[in-house]
Amino acid sequence: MAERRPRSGASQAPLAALSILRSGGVAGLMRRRTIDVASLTEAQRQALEALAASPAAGPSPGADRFSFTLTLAYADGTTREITVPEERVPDALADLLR
Amino acid sequence: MSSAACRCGLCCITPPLMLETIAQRAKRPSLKRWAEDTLAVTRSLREARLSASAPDPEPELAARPKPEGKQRAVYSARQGQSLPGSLIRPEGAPPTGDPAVDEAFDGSGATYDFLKTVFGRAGLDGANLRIVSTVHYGRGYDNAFWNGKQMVYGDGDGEVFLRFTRSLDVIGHELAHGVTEFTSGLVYWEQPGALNEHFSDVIGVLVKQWQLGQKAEDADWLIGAELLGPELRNPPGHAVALRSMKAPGTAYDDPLLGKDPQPAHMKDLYRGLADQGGVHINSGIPNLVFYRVAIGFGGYAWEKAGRIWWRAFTEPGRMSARASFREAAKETIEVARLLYDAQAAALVAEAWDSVGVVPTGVRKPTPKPAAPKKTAAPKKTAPKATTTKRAAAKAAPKPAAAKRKASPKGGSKPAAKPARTQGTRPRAGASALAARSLRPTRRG
Repeated sequence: MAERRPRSGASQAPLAALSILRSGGVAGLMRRRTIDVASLTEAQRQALEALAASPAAGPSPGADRFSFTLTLAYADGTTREITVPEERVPDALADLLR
Repeated sequence: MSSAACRCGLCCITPPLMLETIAQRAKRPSLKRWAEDTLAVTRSLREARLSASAPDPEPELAARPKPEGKQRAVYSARQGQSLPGSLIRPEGAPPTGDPAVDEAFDGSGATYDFLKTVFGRAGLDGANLRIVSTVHYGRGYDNAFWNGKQMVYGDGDGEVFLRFTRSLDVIGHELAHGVTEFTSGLVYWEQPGALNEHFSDVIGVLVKQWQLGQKAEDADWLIGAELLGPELRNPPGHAVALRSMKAPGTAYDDPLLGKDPQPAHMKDLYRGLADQGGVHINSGIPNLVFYRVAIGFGGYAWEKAGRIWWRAFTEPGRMSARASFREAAKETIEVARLLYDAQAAALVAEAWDSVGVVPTGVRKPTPKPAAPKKTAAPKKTAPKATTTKRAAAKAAPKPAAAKRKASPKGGSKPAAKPARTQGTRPRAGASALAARSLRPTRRG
């Protein structure tokens, strides 16, 4: 789910940090990772921004699937949290969110 | 996000939330039934649409008359993520020699036989729906899931986790998600989601105990013990399974996995947003209740405890899709009385009480009420103002069920409603919630 107050595209500060929490799965484990933002490809950055700008995801069918909570921190000090169910991970982020 | 960004066909389906809300809330039985019927139709349409979106690997099956009895089919995704994949072992075919295929086949067979023999249930939908499993899903995939249509099993990474078909209780757990989808339809979020998970754990362990001919007192009550990999078998960590129904929170404490976050009492209820609001975390609370009931009865757990739970969780009109732990307590106590006697009901009531859950309805004024209900009080009143003496004495959640029923809105998001039913205090602010979502709250 994207943060409620949307950032305008024009005033976006660069992404400074990205952390990923994977939760759920039949094991119910939580796995936290911090991603080096310098290593992100342009396609990954664009996909992240598209996710951050999209409306909150509704419930998904099934059970025991993974869920990813992304915390994006920007250079201007703002942060945003997005939750993406496993089955809605865009192709561009498949390597990042697994 | 746009549907074009999705990797699968499942995500583009909007669940009929409005119908669920009506089915849940409607006081008039006819309206409730209408919504439920419509939901059922929607569900079957959705199934049909899902089937239509992928080429049927066995087109000849569709032309045949409805199959009788157990109809299993195990597919292989061959390390990919397309479902169902290639058909490897249909019903009637001999063992393949591939352990993942044969375990999925045998495990779903054992679960079918258990449900049929013990509860008289003909498969997931009660009408012998084909049981589809896909193994070898993804590369080193550390999970098993029910996607709303079939079971899916990963091979595990080989070090932390082995293939997920190794544990019969995990297979039973996944199939039970299918049963839930066709019965109570417990929403996969917060407390109803934890009950959904709990019911799957119950069926999972019961299938295994039934297969082994094991009595409650002789069983290990563990989920997923067999799939722990070599990395978890040795110090410095300690890991015996994914979960322990007997002692929630003790299944592992390991550098790789962290510590088992399951609470064993309402005072430690996880209130974060991760894991769909802690569905695999808070299931520890009802899991412990079931264990205590099974041990209390003694003998085979599926005979009494299992029968009570089965009826409470699957009988039409009993458990609502947004049930809280309190509602589950009320239903299981009531079913225990219906199936057995007051003593059985007392045993179930004591087990819920031992984890801090007060059944829905307990706050109802008796003929000589000492504490008048103050449900008209403002919503965010401090707990003390609305807590009855009885609930306070038990250090139990405030009686919020009446408020939940009376609440005029809130059906658009499954998230918010159930949480409040058990809240012992007003919900924290959004920022605190977000911070908590990163870590299970453990105070015990």
